[in-house]
Amino acid sequence: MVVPAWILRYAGRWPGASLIALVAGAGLLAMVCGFLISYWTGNYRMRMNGVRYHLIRDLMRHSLTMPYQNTLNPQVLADINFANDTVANPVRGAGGIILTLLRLFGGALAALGFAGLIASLSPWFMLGMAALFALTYLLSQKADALEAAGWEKTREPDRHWYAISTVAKDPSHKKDILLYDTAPLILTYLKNLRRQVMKVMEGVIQKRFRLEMIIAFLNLVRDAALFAFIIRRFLAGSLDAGGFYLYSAGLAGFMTVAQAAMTDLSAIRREGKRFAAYIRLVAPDQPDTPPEKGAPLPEGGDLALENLTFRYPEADKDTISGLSLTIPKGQKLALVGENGAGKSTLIKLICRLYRPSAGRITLDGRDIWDIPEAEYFRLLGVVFQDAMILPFSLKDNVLMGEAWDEARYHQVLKLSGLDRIIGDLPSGDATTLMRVLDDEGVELSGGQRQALFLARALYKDAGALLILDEPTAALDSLAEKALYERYGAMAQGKTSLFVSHRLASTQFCDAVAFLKGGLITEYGSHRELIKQGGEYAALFDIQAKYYRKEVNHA
Amino acid sequence: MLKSLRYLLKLALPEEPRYLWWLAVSVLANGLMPLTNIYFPKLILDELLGAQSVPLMTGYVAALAGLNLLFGLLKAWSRSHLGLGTARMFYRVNNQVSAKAMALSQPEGEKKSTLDLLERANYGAYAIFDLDQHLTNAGAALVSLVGSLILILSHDWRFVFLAVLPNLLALPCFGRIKALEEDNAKRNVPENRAFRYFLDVAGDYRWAKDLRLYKGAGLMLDRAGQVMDKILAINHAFMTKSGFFNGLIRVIIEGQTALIFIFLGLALAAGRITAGAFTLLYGACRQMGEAMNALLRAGTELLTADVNLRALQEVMALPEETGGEANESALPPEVQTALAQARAGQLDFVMTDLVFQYPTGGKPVLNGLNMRIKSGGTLALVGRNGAGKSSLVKLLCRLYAPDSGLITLNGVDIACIPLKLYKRLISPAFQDFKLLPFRLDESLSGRGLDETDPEDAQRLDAALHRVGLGDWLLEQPEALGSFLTKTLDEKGIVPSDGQEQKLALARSVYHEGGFLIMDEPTAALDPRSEEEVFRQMLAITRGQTALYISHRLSSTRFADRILVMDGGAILQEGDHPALMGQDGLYRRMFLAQATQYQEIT
Repeated sequence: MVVPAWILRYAGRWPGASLIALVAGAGLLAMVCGFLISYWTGNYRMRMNGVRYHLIRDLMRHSLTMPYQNTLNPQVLADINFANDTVANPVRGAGGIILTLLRLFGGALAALGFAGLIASLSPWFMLGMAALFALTYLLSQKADALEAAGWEKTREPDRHWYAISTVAKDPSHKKDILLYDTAPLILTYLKNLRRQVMKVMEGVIQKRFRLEMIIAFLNLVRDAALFAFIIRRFLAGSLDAGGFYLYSAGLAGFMTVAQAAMTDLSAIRREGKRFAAYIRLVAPDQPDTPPEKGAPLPEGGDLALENLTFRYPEADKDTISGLSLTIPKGQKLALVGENGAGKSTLIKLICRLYRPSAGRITLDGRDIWDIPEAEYFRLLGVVFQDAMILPFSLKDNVLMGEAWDEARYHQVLKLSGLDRIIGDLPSGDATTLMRVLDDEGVELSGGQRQALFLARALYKDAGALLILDEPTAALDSLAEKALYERYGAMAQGKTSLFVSHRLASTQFCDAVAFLKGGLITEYGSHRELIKQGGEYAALFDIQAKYYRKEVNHA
Repeated sequence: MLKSLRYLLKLALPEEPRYLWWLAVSVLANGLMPLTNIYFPKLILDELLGAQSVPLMTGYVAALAGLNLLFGLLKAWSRSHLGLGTARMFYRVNNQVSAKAMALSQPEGEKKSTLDLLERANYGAYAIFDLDQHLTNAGAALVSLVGSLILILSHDWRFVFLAVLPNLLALPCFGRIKALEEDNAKRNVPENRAFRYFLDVAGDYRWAKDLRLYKGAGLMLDRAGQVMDKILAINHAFMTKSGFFNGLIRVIIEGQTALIFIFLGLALAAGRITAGAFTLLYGACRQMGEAMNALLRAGTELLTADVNLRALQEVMALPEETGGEANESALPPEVQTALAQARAGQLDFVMTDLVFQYPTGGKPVLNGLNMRIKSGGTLALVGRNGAGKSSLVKLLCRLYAPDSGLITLNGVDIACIPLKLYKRLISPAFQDFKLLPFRLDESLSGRGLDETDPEDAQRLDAALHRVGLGDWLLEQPEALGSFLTKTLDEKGIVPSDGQEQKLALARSVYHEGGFLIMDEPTAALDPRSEEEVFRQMLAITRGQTALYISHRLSSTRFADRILVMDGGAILQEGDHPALMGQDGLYRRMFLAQATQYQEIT
């Protein structure tokens, strides 16, 4: 900017050589700067992403380790979602701050330079221009805020639209979509939601346009004032051609640079607010357990449920209501009940995933919530109904981060029946499961998954408490029977809880607890309960009657 | 490079016919504005150094300010329209991708390459969002480039050597950047999918239990870290390289500007050009440099977009499931007869020497299977895990075609029956069935509200009663208008496993296909619900052709005929007493369960 003004001023007076040197020097500087800017922007971008990925990992850690009960709290989930937006999007939140910070310094520097230039012409004129600029800036801020509010309003339909788009592309929905020809219905939803989003946006953009019109008129005032001012100065003789150029181009330069810097600044403020939310969420991450009281309990003991009550947030009645039960150390207990009786909730309470609303659970006399989380979890070997397979090797899926113990590993493979499945896999226990991380990954069938989950639960070294939730649902009758036969060996030396709709399973247990309406309504051995002729006996009879006479004949 | 852009516009323009106009207005306003600010100051400076006519200068200033106003308004106006148009285009294109994904056949939709392509197309659709900006930038840069060139060349045509030729040096750099971009996009696909998986797991609390009770969180974080590091490494190398080439281009442009200055300065010093001409030429050269830069940036962005947009184009070119529509009267007479019989409830299936292996690999699942499904009978298919039962169902549903062998319906190869007509004949409930998160009536009927009438509602109501959900329906505040799950409605119904199973059954009943298929319908149910569902199924399918798969042999024993499958073929066949009389797999399987229930009498 200054170079041409000098040229204009001194062109007649300087020798050609120094002029060439000046321009060449400036040119060289520009070349080096230009190259470095491009190069470093490329180079910096991924370093910045490295920082961002680190933040993502911290958020992941938070989400994966926060108290399980938080997953029931919609506010907590919304906070995590919001914080995730902050780090997942490369141009918003943390990424946005880092990106704009780079620009902002350069922009602010340039804006200051221009401002100084104009102020040297006339401080008053500079003030007027600054006021005009401030007005323009405020208006554009308002326009941005308007647009942001508009996007906010589109969030819900957009989220719905996204959820349905995911269904449409989900291969696991494919069979039903094809066979029941539901594609047209799904598309109708997608189109309607699109329309809803667009309707909001149309209103917003119209309002925004009105504000931008005002800005364009303000610019008209700016242009006219500037040129009137410098023409008058020139005519008065206090400005030469170089000065004229400097100021006419300088103002435009100032406006552009200052505008950009202000936009960047407000972006940083906005994204900073998002990032602050992230920090509030992730920073205080500490173990949620109270400080250790007394010695750890590696061996377990009697498990006592005392007047246990649990109600889901916003539910209108208790799922578990004042339940009391003692599971002596080493007992094999069968937990039965109809769908919706509260079995899964009870298991989560015993697993110390949910905190009781009232009452308590003690292990060897100690409230399990007084035992450090990691310490207690170490004792549990649990197979949930809807357990998770990780997209890693089969071996990783059995070990799940536990220390390697070859003897136990092979014993566990045998007990769970996983050894026979491994034999059929292309790379044995090194075979990757699922095709998320490995194109050659293997999808296990229902029965195979069950065997894997079982092996995982058995592998835990301190597993003093074995909990199996519906382990036989996906098994054929021979595999089911084989599981029952091995169950004694699996539960050897452990306290165990077996939840199943296959009531035959209860015969391998020491006691049966029948759960109904959040309470244990019947308790005793299988024989006792059958003799008692209560609800358990009725349920058993339903399942048994079509088997029974057959065998007598056979 | 423009191919995929053209394709995109073709895909989206029918709905946005004025998009190109807005783009043109935006390009002109953005391109001409800087030229105005170069040209008029020159006129004013010439006038100041010359005649100093105040009216003339007032006129120039008015023209300058007026044009700036005009262009400013046009910019804002076109921006609004382009913004809206872009958003509409984004949703439209995405919806088209969804439609395409749904129309793909089962094997095509399961392919790894298809899933990858859909993933990339997802990015492609997002590329639409900044497209108007990049196109405007590129177009405006081009306009101001051409404009400043005209200003320069009209002054001295020899500048062409300085103004144009050095740019040719930049072309090879451009080529390298494009090649890098393409390479990078391909390399990133599997990593990005992995990245997304980890993000999803962290936000999906279904598995929160397992991750806590086992040391899953640590394992997950560890692996996520590895994937992220890999992505960073891939992209860092790419970004640094492309930054280098971008830098080279900048060097060429800046060098060129400096050269031009030297010539201009010398000319000014020698008195060959006026001060006004100098500002004009200087401004024009600068503008040219900036335009080149902008063109470069927009070009790079467009290249990135192009790579992703191409995936979009590839998705749209995937073959769809064929055999949709058909003119029934043009079908061969034997097919027409078979269809007419089937619609009248007569469905005889014969499977001969079926061999099948999933396209994704693995062992063959069917090995020369032969069986019959007789019309009007209930057939139970039993066997060990992995015997091929579910695969057989998929072949019957024509989700896959057998590798060899034949399936006939009423004597006609099912492959000869138009798919759309065939699908209406069967009502399957897959083991891993999925219900849609819409209103109950929509989810079960598969049709929108506007397509249904009161009679449909009655039929739905009847279907729900038949599967034992009549009372349950009465408990729902919005009845058939209730949303299933909370995906679209916070007050939506979250059915239990048993209820969901019954809903799937109700859907099959409503569908009124003559052939009902139920794959493991009671695995998740308690004994009472299990019995209920089976009782209802037996009642519903009385006199109808039906196929059940279940591991609960107490339930399947009442089927008219039982087929025992093993190793991809039929091992035994007969009714329950007959099979119990044989010393085979069936007897073994039945007794394995039955003996568990014997102790008590």
